Amino acid sequence: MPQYVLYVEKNTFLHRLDPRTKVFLVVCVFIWSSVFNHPLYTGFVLLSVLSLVFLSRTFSQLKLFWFGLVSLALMSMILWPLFRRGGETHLATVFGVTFTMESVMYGVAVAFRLVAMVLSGLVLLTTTRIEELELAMTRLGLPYPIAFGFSAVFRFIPTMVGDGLTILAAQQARGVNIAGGNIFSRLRNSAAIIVPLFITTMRRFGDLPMAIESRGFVPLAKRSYYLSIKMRAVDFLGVAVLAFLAALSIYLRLNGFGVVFPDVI
Amino acid sequence: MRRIPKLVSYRPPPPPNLNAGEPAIVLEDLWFGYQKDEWVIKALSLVVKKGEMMGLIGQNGSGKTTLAQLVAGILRPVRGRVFVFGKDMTKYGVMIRGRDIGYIFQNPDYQIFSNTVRDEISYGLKAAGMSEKEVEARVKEVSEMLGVSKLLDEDPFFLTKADRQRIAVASILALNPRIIILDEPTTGLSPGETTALMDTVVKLNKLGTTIITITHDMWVVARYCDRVVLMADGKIVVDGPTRTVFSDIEFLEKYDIEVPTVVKLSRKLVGETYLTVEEFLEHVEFYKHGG
Repeated sequence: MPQYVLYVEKNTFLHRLDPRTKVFLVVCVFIWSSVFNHPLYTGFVLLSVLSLVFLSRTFSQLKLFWFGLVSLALMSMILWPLFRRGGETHLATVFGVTFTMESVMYGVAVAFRLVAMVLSGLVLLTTTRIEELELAMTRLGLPYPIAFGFSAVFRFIPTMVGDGLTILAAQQARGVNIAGGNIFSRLRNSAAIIVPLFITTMRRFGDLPMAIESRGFVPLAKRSYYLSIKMRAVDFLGVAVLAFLAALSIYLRLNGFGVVFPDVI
Repeated sequence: MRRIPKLVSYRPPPPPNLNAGEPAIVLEDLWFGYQKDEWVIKALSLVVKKGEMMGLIGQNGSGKTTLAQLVAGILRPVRGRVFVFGKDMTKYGVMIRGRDIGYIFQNPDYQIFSNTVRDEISYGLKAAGMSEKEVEARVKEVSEMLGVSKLLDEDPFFLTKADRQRIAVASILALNPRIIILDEPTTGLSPGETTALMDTVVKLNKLGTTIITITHDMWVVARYCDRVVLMADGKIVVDGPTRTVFSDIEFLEKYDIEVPTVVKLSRKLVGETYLTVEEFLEHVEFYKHGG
């Protein structure tokens, strides 16, 4: 059967890091990419995350997501200049809408920001087992039911991706053309994917509570774990560097660096 | 414990129904893997003749579904070629191959999305650009064939799994494919529901449709399939008429395949292979008290 599990077993630097360090890394990527709105700065953040993808050798594992990430970036680059008004450097006027260099740069910056954020989450999932992530969340002080809920959602992402691909094939086999026709027929046809995916997922999630409860699940019971995670020197060093960079980014932003529009995020 | 009645005589079973027709599907040296260098299908070649009813069996993970999806165009082979009715279809995906090949999934919920059974069955026909009159006629024909004509105005999501499976089958049959692949269609169905579904499949087969069914139910294979292909580790281990394949019980057991009890009994008692109880009783005569 095809495997759509995001985690891939490799012995890389990123795989060996404690999951708490990697969660902190994702938080830092969110901070770095949110404090700046200049494409050079958010672009640098995106490049850093991309280098982590290459370092962890998970590029091919994310092949299902590249199209979506590029689409997300293009949408942002096209839409943000329409809505983020302002700026002084006039570029062009199309159908009465004026585009400035600043609004276009902002669109590119947000595109880089969004891709960096999503990609950092994917790097976390491709280099960390769901069980490790759940344990990391409880060790970080999150109540177990919430950590369990998170891990259950992550656990079902690959299943949903697999279901989605199977549904797509099933509908294509009976002549549903998702990619063809005008925007309205595409929207109508997309129901052929979304409805079965929703129903399949709902049926699956409907069974989950019964399966858990039948095995004696007590949400707030005291737990021990077979799995063990340990912060090593390299993790503490990593957290220190990340924290320093997060603080530095906030300092830079407060001093007017890395922004196209100073008054907005 | 009652003793087995004394055997009087028996007639050999009928010879295998060998299909000498033209090929519907030809697979040439097919290779496929989901991960690099991990082959799920290895150098597989197979010919399925027009009008054949073939059972594809094997343990979980043997490559049955992968092979069926390679035929349907849902997956593309890394190496090798797929011919459908003489045309090289290797490069074409499921959209093109779907005109000839209908694929029925184990889970009917993967296919159903309309508000009524009628809309569900007619969706593919409308997508193919058929007129309303033709669509209506086709929906009526197919729904009567599958016994779902009373459900046409129902919401399919609130029906039983057996009914949803029949609706998924109906929505594929409506498109009139020349080949139908059923991927474990009887999972979750009762024996009665399985028989009803398979009887419909046999009707289609008699009308000339080529059928490939993947199943773990050996009684279904024994009763309905003319030919059996056993897969293991991405390769075909045995390919032959059902009676011939089911005769080697020990060999099949190595691959975790357990033949129906009537096959074991007939092998033990008379050394012949009868595939169903009806066939066994028809060919074997026992001593009757006072007879």
